[in-house]
Amino acid sequence: MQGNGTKLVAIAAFLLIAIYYLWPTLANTLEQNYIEDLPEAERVEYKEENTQRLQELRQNSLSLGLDLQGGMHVTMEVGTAKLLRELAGNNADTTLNNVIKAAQEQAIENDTDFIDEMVSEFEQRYPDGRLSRYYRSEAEDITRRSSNEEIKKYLKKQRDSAVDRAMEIIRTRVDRYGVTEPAIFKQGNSRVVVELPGVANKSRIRDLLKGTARLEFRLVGQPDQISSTKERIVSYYNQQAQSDTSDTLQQGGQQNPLLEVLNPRGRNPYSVGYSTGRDTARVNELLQKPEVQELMPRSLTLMWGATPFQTTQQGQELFELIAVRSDVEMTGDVISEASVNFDQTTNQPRVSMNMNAEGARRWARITGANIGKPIAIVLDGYVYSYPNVETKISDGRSSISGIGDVKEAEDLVNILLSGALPAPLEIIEERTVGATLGEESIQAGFYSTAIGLLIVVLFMIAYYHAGGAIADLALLLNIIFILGILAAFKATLTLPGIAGIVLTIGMAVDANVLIFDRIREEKRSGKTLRAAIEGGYSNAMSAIIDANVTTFFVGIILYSFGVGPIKGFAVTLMAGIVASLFSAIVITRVVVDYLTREKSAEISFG
Amino acid sequence: MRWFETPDFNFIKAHKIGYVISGILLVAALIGIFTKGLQYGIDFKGGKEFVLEFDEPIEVVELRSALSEPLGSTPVVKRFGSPQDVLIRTDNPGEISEVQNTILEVVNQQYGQNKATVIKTDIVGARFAEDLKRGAMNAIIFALVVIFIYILIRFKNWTFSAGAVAALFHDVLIVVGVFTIFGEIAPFSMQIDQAIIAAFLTIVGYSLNDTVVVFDRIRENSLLYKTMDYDKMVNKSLNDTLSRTVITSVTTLFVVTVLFIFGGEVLKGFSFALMLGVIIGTYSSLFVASSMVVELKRRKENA
Repeated sequence: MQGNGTKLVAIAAFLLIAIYYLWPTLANTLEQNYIEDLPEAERVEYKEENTQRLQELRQNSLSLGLDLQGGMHVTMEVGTAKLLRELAGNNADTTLNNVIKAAQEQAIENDTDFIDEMVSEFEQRYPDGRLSRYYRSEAEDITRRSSNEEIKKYLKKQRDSAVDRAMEIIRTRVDRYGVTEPAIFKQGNSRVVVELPGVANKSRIRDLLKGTARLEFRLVGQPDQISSTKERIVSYYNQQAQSDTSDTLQQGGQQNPLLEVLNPRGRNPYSVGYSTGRDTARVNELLQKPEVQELMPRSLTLMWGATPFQTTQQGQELFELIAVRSDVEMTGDVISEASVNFDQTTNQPRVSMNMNAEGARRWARITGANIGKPIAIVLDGYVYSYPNVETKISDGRSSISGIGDVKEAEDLVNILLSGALPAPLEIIEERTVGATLGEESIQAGFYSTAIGLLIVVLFMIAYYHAGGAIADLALLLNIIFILGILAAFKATLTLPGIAGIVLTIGMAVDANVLIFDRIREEKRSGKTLRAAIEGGYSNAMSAIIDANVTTFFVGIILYSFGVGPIKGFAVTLMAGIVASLFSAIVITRVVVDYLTREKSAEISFG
Repeated sequence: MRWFETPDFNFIKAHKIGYVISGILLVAALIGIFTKGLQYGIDFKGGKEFVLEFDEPIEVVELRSALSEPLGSTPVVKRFGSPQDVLIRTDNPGEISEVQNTILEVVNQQYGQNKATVIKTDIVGARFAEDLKRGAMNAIIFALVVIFIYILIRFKNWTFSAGAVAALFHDVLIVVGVFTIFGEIAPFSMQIDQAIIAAFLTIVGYSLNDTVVVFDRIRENSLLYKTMDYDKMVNKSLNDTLSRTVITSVTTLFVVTVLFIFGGEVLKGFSFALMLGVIIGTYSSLFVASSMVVELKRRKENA
């Protein structure tokens, strides 16, 4: 058994590694089955008790693609053309617009970077022209004397931050929507991909994703008006609860449905109350009822705080419901810059904002008229903060203090700048698969794999007898290896990915077919079984390598050019080649050698 | 069980018949492609596709005419697997949610009791489609170049490279031809989309696999039988590897047929392309690739 010792160790090691990586997937499946069998009440309890462990299992499991578990895949593009125009502000003229337009077409035509095209187009048209005619920024040190190259860098930086800001906004929105394990990533220069497992309400998500990040400055409501409104709404639901009770005979047992999800003790006169993040949707539902809307003065609007003001010991995040004026004093398009700095006396982080001339004028008027009162900073319908106005501000500067830490301040800057996000987001690709269709696909994939495997296994035994059975053993291990490789590399299993596995089942036996045919040939030429086996394996090797290397190339190319599910196909194809080479060459060899040498068995190759 | 134990077919002599068959298929494919144009799917053309699942089976033609006016143009309405499921494809440029609502409203009016839910949507913008198309083109060109170079390095002979790449073109062109010509009458989607491109490249990989095994044997035999005529030696190599070629094709054909039957509607076009590819790929390794090598070598020597 010379040399086979190492092979045996290698096989055992690979098998153990594969099982190690597949273990969480297996455990997760078992857990899910267990949970499903539990009675309703115990299920919730069990889930809560084991939240962390279950989550870890899920995270380490072989993940299913959106085409299998159902969900939504959206690609969005930040409108670079608009961004370039907006950045130029009042300096933009027909010349610049024409250059941008031409550059856009060329960027699509040549698959090149928009901003590169724009600068070279400009230089081509106006060899002596300077882009500094259009673009200035004090913060980025872009002046009249900046070279076109510097401006190119500046524009790219602006675009990158626009994309980052867009991702930030999307992440906030998606988290608030309550999607479990969303994936948000950048694609290329100006695209954002959002993957949302299990999302069904498509229109709402669409609006949520591309809704313009609208920044507003609003005054808050009058304290006495707020408290009387709150009383009216609460007592409306009190009556509702009582009338319900009379039906159920349960005297006084019925809770006020609003107070069940909303704690009415506001932290200050402007806050109507607070709820846990999960309950906010239910509160919205209750407040949206037409009868309740009638109780609201038209001048008041209720909005949630964007960030939790407190986290309970149980880890629940609490959000404030704030009453702001329905009238918008000013919108975020006046914000020109925002940055994080530190208060010189308290050393606390704060956010400083700069407004353009028009904004500064209006800001002076608004702040002058509301000294001592809070002004709410609202983004996309959520209140980010509502600081008190201390003095009239006439230079268009403003700052937000009382921020927890630098990170929060950075987030706020991000959000403020997103409010000023000059580029719209456009959905350029959207794919959704319903959960039932996904389940059907899983089933179809499973049946195809099982039936394909069965046919090939039987065929191999019929054609190659004992040799075929050995190849079948290798094939089964092969599938474990493929899944192990996928789990180890955290690959996502998609329907085309399963197709790749099924295809691999058919093609994996190829290496053994090559070897066994060669063994038959060698035997025909009069060699002994041992010599024929020796010759068969060594002579078939070059053909096996050649054939698999080329298919592997195809896998790599598919992986680099394909997107989504096709990548999944490429991954399983490549994993399949690696695994099947190992099992067809090494595993069958060990078994064949063992049987012929140790047991002196006559293996039939049909 | 033994098939083709010691076969002695004269493939090289039969290559004329092979050329005629391939010629007819290729010409038909090219005529189809040039007259009808490639039938791009939504990935490469852009548009909006919705798959609706009804409670009860519905009539496709009826739904198509009902949708034509509200959508502004006649949409493609096709059965999607079961008779309850329909695929609606429209090039209406409106906002996604609006288009979807329009469709659902019409469906609601038309079928009232027979409720429909959207189980799948694919929306691809025109420019994004352009990008996907370019990506696919690059993948195909890149694959062919890499394969050509690999075979050149491995076999140190450009006739092999040319033979292999010619066989690949042959295989993919014929499959594309079938997809173009029969796309409209097929009961499943035969449009060229990303999955089909993946299938094409897999066919390329597979067909090459076959071809390379034969070439490998030619290389080996050319050292063993130095005095033998080149075309006889090539023919012997084809016969030597015939059993393997057939067995591997059979097992692969098994599994792709299983995929076609059991893999669900989403994979129909993909697995059909693979089925065709396996059959044509096997044929071309036997009748096209090696014959090309013999032919090219003869011309080189005569020149």
